[in-house]
Amino acid sequence: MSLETALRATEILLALALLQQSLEHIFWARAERRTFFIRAALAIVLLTGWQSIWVLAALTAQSVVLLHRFGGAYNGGSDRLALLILFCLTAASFLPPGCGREVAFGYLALQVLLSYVVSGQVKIANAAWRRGQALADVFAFSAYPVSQQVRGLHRFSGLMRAASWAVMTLELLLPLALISRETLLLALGCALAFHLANAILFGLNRFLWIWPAGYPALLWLQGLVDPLVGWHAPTMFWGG
Amino acid sequence: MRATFDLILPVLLPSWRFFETVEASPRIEWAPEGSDRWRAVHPRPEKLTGWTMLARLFFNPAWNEALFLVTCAERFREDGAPAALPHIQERALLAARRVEPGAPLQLRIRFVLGQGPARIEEEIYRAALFE
Repeated sequence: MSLETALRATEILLALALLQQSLEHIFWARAERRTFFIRAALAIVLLTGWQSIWVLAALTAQSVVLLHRFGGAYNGGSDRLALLILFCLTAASFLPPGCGREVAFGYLALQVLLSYVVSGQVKIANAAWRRGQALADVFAFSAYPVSQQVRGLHRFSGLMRAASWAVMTLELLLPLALISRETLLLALGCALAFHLANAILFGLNRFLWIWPAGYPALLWLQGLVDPLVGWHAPTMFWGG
Repeated sequence: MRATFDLILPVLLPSWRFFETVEASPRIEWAPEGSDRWRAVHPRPEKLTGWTMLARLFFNPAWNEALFLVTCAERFREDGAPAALPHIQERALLAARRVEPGAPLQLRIRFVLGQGPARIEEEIYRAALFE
């Protein structure tokens, strides 16, 4: 994927995620309606691609105001990634084509990778996660399960252990998927299923919208590392 | 300027240490003044239908507000951040007024850790809830 295509794809996915977030605020919190109406309008303009550079700058400035209003990110990790994507896109837009723009977008790709790897690393270092007890605790008494029925899943210790290992394996092995475009697409499909499960079980719907907005950066990064480490299953098995 | 820098830094250098350990979890509740009938500001339903779960993938503002209040309660407990409390009071009042339109109200914030006999509960805040 070329840098320009990846940047535009990221803009579109980010705009959809910001629009989704803004609509939630507009239809729920009267006090914030005007602010998020402006944000939704900017997201729609970003979708069209018109004057992206200034739209991104306006969204970035408004994001700083929102950080002050809520005393930090409103929705934890998902809003933090949304802002990081926004900052990286804005930096890339203002930098001239070439190395600077690639560094700004590459930083986003690195952070998306780290979001999985660091999360997996801190879990696997914890014996409670390896036993499945930590995930059982998340279901049993954290604020996240969306219903009492979902909370009851903590009683299935085998399921908790299997799910813990599935999550840790996915998070830790995701960087290895950069070895080829096919493996990366497969890994990103698994990651998307992981975010879907989090949205269904824990109500983390904003993660489901914003994390895929970081995937074009990984697809672009994979194109860069492909000549260095590329592994192509069809060539191996079909003899080119 | 310093405050802006402190807010932007965790965005530019995120930690990504999701669920490193499972910490005590807040419960934000209101009750009529003088009563012990505490209710969650965002009650958890017994079960959700598949259709509701699907719809919430696209539109889930009440739940996201509940998660924001969890963050505010954690900030209030960890840093004693006074700025986090008005966010909780304002939204708790709105939720409570839908059920109890006129009565004087009180708010409490508890943290729970563990399950079964090992469960630990700590109340960190209780006060009248004003308009």
